[in-house]
Amino acid sequence: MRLSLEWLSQYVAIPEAIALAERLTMAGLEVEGVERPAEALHEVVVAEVRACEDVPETHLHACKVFDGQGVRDVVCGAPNVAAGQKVALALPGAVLGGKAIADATIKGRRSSGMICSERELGMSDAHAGILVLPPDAVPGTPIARALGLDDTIFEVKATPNRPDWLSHFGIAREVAALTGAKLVSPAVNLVESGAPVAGAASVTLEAPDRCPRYVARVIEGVKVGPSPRWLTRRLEAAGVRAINNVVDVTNYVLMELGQPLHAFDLDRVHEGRIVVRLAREGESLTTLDGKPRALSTDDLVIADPLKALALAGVMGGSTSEVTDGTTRLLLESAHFTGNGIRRTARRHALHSEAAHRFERGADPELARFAADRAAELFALLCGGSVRAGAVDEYPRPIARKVVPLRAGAAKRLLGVDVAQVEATRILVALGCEVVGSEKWRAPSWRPDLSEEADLVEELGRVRGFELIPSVPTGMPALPTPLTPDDEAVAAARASLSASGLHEALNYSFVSPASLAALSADAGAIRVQNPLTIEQAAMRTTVLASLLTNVRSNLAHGAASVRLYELGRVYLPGGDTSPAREPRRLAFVRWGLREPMAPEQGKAHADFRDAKALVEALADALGVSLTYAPASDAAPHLHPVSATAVSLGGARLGTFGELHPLAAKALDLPRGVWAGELDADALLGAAKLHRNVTALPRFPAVLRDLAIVVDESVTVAEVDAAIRAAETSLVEAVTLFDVYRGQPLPPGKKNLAYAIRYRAPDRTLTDAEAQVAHARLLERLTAQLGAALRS
Amino acid sequence: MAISEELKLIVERARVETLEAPDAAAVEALRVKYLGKKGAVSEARRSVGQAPPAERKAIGEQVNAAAKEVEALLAGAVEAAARRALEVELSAPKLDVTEPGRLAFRGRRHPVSRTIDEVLEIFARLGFTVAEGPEIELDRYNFELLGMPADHPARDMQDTFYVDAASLPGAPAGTVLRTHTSPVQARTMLSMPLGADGKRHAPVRIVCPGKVYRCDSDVTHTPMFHQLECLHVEPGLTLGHLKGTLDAFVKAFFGPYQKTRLRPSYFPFVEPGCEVDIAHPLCEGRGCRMCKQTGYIEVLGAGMVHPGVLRGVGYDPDEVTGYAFGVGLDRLAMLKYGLDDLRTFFENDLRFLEGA
Repeated sequence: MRLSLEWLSQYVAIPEAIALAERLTMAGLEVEGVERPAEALHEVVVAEVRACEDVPETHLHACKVFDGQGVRDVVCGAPNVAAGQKVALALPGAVLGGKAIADATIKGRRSSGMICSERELGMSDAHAGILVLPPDAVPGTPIARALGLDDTIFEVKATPNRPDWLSHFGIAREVAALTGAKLVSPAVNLVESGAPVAGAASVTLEAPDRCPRYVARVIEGVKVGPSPRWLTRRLEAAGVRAINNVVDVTNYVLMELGQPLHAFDLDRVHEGRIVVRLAREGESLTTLDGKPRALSTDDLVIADPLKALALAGVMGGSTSEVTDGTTRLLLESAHFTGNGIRRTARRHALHSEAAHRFERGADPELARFAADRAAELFALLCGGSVRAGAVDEYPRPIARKVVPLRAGAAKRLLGVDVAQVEATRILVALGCEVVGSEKWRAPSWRPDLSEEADLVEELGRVRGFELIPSVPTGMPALPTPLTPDDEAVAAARASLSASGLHEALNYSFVSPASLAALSADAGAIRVQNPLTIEQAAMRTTVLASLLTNVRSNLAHGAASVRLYELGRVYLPGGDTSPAREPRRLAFVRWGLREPMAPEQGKAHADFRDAKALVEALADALGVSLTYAPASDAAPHLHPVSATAVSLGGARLGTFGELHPLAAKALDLPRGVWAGELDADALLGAAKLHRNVTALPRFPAVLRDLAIVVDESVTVAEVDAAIRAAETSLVEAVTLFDVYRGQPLPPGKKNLAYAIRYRAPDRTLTDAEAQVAHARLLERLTAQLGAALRS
Repeated sequence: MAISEELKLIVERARVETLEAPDAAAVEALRVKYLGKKGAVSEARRSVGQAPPAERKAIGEQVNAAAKEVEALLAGAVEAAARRALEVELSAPKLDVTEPGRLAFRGRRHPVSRTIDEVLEIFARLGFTVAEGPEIELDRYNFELLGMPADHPARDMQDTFYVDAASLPGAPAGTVLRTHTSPVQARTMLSMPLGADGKRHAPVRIVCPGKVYRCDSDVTHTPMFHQLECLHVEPGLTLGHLKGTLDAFVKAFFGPYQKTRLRPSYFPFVEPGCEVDIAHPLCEGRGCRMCKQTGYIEVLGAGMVHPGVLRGVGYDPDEVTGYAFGVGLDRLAMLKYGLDDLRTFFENDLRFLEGA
């Protein structure tokens, strides 16, 4: 809220602005901004128009203006400028609304300054003519002082637990507690002159749990018109637009005391009878903002015997609105409970000043005082006479809470003792009263004080948290890693970095369309209120995020996109939580295989690059993965390259080239390689600590083997057959070439292996190796139809 | 001419020719010329047989001596040729060593994930273990157990994303994307075993890093960001211990110049509650444009665990106390790495990631 220091200082002596801002902030009322309206009006002074003549054939006037020191020529275009007026003159050098005022020549006439409208002064939107000041304004006086704008405004951020900080008087009370200065309550000198209120108005509370108290006063003979300048100025300082004297008075008391008020046109309240009740099925109401609203039976309304008049505590209704012709007012000063107001405000998306305060908890004991204060002002400013007495329906007064504060409680929570005398001074200044031994009664305006810790906080807060010592806990350090798979995560990341992939971090929500493009939209959890459709579905696959990254990076002209992300996906079927949130490790690769450099290839990444990074990852984690075609299980991948990755027989995930139709749907080029693995299973299986094997003591014999097999025979099958040979002499098998084409017939391929034979216990002879090699070939021929390449 | 003279001439010729041999190939040609089958020395050796038997031995010895001498000359020539070849190689024009090496792609870690690792390691040194919790969370953990029943005004402090109940069978209404990591407080405390006396075990010393969500998006807000929750519950803890832990953390993370400033504030699940400012890393607390000359920047919310929260999960607030805080990890990363637009972290623009 906006806090006028000029207004505040009516109730309490205040320190210099910056010191006050610091003190309030350090007590929990954060001052977020400091505004000095006068600064914007630098070099604007009161001036007197001594002469004013028309400039022929224009709408302009050439004026002689006395600025307190000398007479200036000023050209003015306003229709209402006239000799003898006191006006606001911006001197050359002033800057108004970003516009610098300087000497100028207009239509051949010198002009040294500008006579200002209210809009140019930032006071209001009025700009039909210049602002004319009262005749007693003294030329040369800074305009800010002449207009009472010599104020400092704080933008303060009251936390939701402190509704008492939503008024000038409430903050004054805080300042008094912080500085020890004396607090001066606004005095009410109400003169009641009419007949008793009972003859004009009555109140029935049908829902006292929602409206525990309702005070009504009646003011008659009111003349609706503009408010005096002092009042509108204070409202403007508080950020409230002036409307008319009746509405302005209710807003003034709101900003002064924090009590929301509402003035009804009593003549439009049937029989002057107010009924506070829940809305009826099918009932509707047009609120002051002109919107018709269908009411819920949970909405509390202020009604007369015939109809709903207002949305209680939230906004008035148009049928009983005060108009220019209103002469009789029914003033409402009520207390509504917060929950109900909050529900209604949310239901109707109406966040009014009144609702804001009631939601947080208004002061039930303030209702009568605020009504009297407003009645006084109505009498003073609207020419009304106040009927004697007030209707005050308060069937079950709300008891103030009694809160314990045991000796040592402060020490126990704050770590520092607060002397009894000081504690008492602070709590009394805040409005608490001693009830008995170690017990305090909280003030009615502090709904947040309900248990001991709350009082302890007050002691710590008012004294200042800077007095609390910093105490190390002295706990023993724990060995890292902290979680079971920390090291596996680190190893996986290191491996993926080494494979050239950058780590990405994406939002967990993606566009439903991107999931659909990957056939991954079934069962996707939706966000009810997303900021954009791009963030409307919780991802079921991390690839939806990464592929979006590919697209945006391609838009920036990237020649190679290499990304991975280790993150959660969100699936139905939670156990102790609403959803399942397993981790996935996903990667994408598109574009150049190697960085652009001399003598380096311009080839694009392909299957072998994608597989290489999975293999490197498996190696880094010490797991053995198997690969198989997976077109059926991976509809988002190209059926030719779709690869299923398994670990110990369990499917970990897939990788391959993105399916051409998925690429098209995602606006991606061909040749995007993408994979996603179950990170929980993969990382959980990691074996990072491998035992080393002793170096062999006997020499090996190396033999190459080139065989021709059918295309349908996989490398994995050949590999298995070689390793399964009955001889235990095969130590290592390396496939070093795969060849297809002439002179091989179609459907055949040549596989070239380097095979290392070794006996663990002796030097293997060439002859022995030759025998083993020959047997191996026989086996491959028999099992796989392999032929030795001639 | 006597054979001995002949041999002398052969050796002299070989001496001259080996000296003149420009390279290893020329030396090899000379080897053939002198020592090859039809070479001069071999020719001489053949003439031994035609000599009178009495002289044969002496002539044979002379031939052998000459052959040895030519061998030595050739060996010397080989060495000289190699030396000259090396000299030529070593004095060749220098490479342009500023040409690039053969490049390989290298990936980098995301700065936020790096920050999370750093922070967790610091808290491990301070004695905290890691706990985790779900991101799609029940109202009960995200709000209710944290002192925010339905219609509590403090719920306005966090713009909440709700899960569309129709899309998640079995999820109760009010299932949310967690707005903070604080629900892990409740989950962790509730997971502590109960003693025979029905009281929960303490201590609880955890940190929880994770993703959180709020419907908000501008330069300093993204709809998803990362928080770290810290919860420490055991008998005897005070606001002073909160200060001690925070001081230790910020000094370890930013540097020894760091300090903290606690400002009273309000979060429904702590009492007393505070916001915590640290020295602005850019000016190290001396005051700069970024911190509006205050020297401070707000980084986290903290406080003593609210007695209502402790009671709600089965602790007696007269027996144990606790402190808790939640810190924005992306914000820490921004401060540490000098970034001013939070959204950059989640765009995954390679130009950013490559430089990270």
